[in-house]
Amino acid sequence: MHAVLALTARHLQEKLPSLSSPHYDYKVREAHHLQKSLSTFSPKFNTTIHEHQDAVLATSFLLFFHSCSVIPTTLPTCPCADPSFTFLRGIQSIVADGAHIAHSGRYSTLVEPRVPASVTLPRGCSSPAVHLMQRIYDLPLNSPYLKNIPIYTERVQTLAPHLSPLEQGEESEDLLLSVLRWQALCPHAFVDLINAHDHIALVILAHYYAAVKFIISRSPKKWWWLQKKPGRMVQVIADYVGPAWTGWMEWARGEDGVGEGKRWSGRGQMIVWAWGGLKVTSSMPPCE
Amino acid sequence: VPKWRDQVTTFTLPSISKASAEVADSEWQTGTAHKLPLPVTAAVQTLGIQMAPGMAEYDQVFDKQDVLLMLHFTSTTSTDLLGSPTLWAQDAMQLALQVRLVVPLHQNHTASILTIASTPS
Repeated sequence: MHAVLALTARHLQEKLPSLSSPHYDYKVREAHHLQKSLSTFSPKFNTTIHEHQDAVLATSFLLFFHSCSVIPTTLPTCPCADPSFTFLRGIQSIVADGAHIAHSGRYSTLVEPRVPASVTLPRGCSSPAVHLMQRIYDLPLNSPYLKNIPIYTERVQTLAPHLSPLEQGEESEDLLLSVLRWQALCPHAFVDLINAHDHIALVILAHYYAAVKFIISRSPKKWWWLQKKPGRMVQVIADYVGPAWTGWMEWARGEDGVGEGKRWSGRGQMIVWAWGGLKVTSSMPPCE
Repeated sequence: VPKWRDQVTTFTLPSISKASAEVADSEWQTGTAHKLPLPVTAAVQTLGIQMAPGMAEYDQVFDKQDVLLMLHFTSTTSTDLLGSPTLWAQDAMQLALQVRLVVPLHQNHTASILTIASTPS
C-alpha cells in the first residue's frame, strides 16, 4: 500500500503541481510512503517470496515506476546511477527464482519472456548497432577496453533488435516491455562495468536509453513516469564521457536523426547479425 | 472549500465528498483535516475491493490524505502504468490490502532509493 501511495503522490506532483500546499505537501507524503515501503525490507522476505510472489512483483513494479519518475536535479555521486535499473534487475531475479509461479501469476503478462522485435535490413546495411561494434573493433591494440569486448558484444547483439526501425502496427507497450527486459537481463559483468564507469559500457547503456526514448516518443501522452528519464540519462552519460566520445554518442543523442523519422527504411527482411569481422553475415538478404 | 479541492476531479467517491464537505476551511488551513476519520476500510469497500479479516488496523495506519491518494491511484494513476489498468486498480489494491508485504530489495538498493527520496526536485 505504501508503494501505491508513494507513486500516486509522485503522480500528483507531476500532473498537478499546483495542488501541493504547505499542509498537503505531496513531496513529503511521497517520501514518507517511500520510506515506509522500503523500510519493511526484512530478512524474512526470503522465506515468504514464493507465498506472496504476486504482491512482491506488484510492489517491485510500483517502485520501479516510481524510481523511473524521479529525476535528480543534481548529479549524483555516480553520474550514471539509475535506481530503476536495480529495481528491474530485482524483478528479474524474483522471476528467475520462481519462474513457474511468476509466469502463472497475475503479473505474468509483464514478466513472461518476450520475443525481441525482428531486425529489419537497413538500406546500406547500416545500423547504430553495427556502427557501435565497428567502433569497438577499431579500438587500438593497446586499448584497455579490449579485454571487455566479449561483454560489449553480447550487450550490443541483444540490444540490436531494439535499435531497429519500428514497423507500423507494432504495439508500443510490447516494444517497451521488450526493451526494458534488455536492461533487466544485464549480466553482472556488464553491471560491474557500468558501476566502474567504463565508458564503452556507458555508451551502450546510452543507446538503450535512446531506444526507450524513441519508443515512448511515439506515445507522448502515455507513461508519465518514464517520459523524462531516458533523455535525461542520455544527457548525463554524454556529459560524463565527455567530448572525446561525441562520435560514439552521436546516435544516442539524436544527432543521427533518432526519433525524427530519419531512421532506416525497414522492409521487413529478417537478418542475422554477426559481429566477427564487423560484417553482417551472408545469411541476410543482400543489401540494396 | 480550499482551492485545491476544486481542482481535483478524481476524488468522486460520495463518502469522500461528504466527508470533505464536513471539514471547515480552518481545519484545512491549519493542517488538521487529514487527521479526521475517513476509514480506509469504508473507502475500499465502496470500490468493491475485499479486505482480509484483521486488516481494520489500516484505519489507524493510513489517514484521510492517504485515502484520497488511494482513490486517485485507482481512478487515474493505475490507468497509465504497464499492463492492464485492472492489474493495478483491482489486483494490486487487493494485494496491498491482503498481504503483509516485505519489499524484495537488497539493502544497498534501499539506501540508494532513500537517497533519491531525500533529494530535492
